Amino acid sequence: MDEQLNAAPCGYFIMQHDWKIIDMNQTLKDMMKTEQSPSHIHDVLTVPSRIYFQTYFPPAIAVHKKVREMYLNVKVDGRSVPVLLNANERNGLLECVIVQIKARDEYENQLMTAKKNAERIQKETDVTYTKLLGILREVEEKQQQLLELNSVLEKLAARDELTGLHNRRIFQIELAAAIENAEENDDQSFSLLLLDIDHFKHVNDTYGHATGDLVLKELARKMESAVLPPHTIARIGGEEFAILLQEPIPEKAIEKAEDLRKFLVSAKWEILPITVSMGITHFQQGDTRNSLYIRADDALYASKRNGRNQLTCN
Amino acid sequence: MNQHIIKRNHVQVSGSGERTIVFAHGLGCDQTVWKNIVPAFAANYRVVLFDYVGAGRSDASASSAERYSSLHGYAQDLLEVCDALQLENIIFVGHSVSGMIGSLAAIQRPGLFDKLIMIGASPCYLNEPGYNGGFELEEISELLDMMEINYNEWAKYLAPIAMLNEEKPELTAEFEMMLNANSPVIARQFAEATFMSDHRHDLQNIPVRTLIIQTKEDAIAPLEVAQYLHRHIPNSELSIMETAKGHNPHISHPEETVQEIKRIIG
Repeated sequence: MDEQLNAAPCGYFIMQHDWKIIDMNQTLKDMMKTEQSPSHIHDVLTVPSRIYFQTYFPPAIAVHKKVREMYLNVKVDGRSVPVLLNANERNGLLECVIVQIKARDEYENQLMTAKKNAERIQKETDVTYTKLLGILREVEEKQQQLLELNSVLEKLAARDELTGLHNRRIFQIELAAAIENAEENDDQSFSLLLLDIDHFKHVNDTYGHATGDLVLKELARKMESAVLPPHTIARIGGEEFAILLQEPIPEKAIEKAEDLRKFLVSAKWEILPITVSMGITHFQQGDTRNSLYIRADDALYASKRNGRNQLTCN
Repeated sequence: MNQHIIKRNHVQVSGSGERTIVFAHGLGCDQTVWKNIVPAFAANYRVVLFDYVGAGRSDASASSAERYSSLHGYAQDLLEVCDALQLENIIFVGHSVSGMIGSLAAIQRPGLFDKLIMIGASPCYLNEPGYNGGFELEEISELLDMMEINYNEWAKYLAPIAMLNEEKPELTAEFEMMLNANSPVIARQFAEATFMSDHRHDLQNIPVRTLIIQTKEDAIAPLEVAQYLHRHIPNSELSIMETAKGHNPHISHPEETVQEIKRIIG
């Protein structure tokens, strides 16, 4: 080997196609800390480098006839030293140059570490994100359950406990909605019917409150069988009931109310027969809940005053 | 669909004959590694070459991390190529990891292959209790890191334009795009799928006559591993090459490799 090549500032060696090393310059021997030239490339490389070499070097030489800047690790005194390898195929032999890349390797390792950290953080972020999504879904499910529960509770809260009819609170809401509706649509006006059991105090005093309750219940069932949706019935006081008759023609509403009264008179009562006094009024533009209620109540009072078991229209 | 697969895996069909040989490349290269083998068969056989998705001139945009996270994804590539060409009674020659990929395909589709020929194959690269695959986990991790550092170097293998296009100057814009997409990320994934695989339990299910070709000194798939394959594949023959050494006899000793293949396929 000529002197300049022998002392060149890079490792130089010649290899056969069976990866046997046939010559090596002094710089490389110094780098490898050996006096004898190793006989096979495998003796020079670390295990991972051997796999890498076997996987990539032969196909590269076969296809390209050369290899550029292949990063490998060589074994020196049992330690791993990073190098770059260039190789050319010429006259059936492989002429190779090796350069140690200590400083650059450190830098690259730092880059790799940083990259790995970034990947790990990304992975952790992804995992956390997936977890968060799971929690979010759970919260949404719970919210849905709450909504359903609420609607059940609402239904329960809308009922009068004794009769199962709408209670006063819901009646107020329904009345307000009916007013709003009627204000906007002429054809959706309605009548408010109030009714009160005649001589109910007497029933309670004579037969006791338990029987009074049974009478209230029976009346509620009978009214429910006679007054169907969209009309609604509510118990708004002790023995006082209200019916929203969704009937735009006042005369028809009056007819319905009168039919109900007659039906109650002729009905067969299981506990004891009762009659009711009624007051009815039809919605007029400008009406409030209060004004409607006062008119209907006045009518009801008139029915009571005039002998009960009758309907008065106001 | 067929055309899609043909393009996706850059399938090349040459030669003529009643029977078909499919050559499958290994890790870190592409179908061009068979260039000194193919001419010996083109006169009497139909020869099929292809690139796995992510390698050579395949369409890497078809790559998906999920599908190619195990060798089954690559076996799927192989089966789809065979189906696209409506191949039957195939003689399969797989180098390195393709030995196992071919085995998985043969197990999945019994009857598709007539013979399985594996060169430098290994069912498991890692040392496991009672099994000497040749490598420790740390060594494999170091290898994967090394691949990452060699980024540019692989890009060149994956995109073998430099040399090949002296003969084939049809470098279209589309082709260039494909090459760019064949990124080192995919290559690393292939390497990980390969070196972390353990298909020892599949060997007993290989339903076809198998020839295991082994060189004298293979740093990646040692003789012990080849003997393990032979012991566990029911209908198999182990053939140790006379002169070839190393992991790539089809590159270093094409004549001897051709002889071996011809001997078994008759």
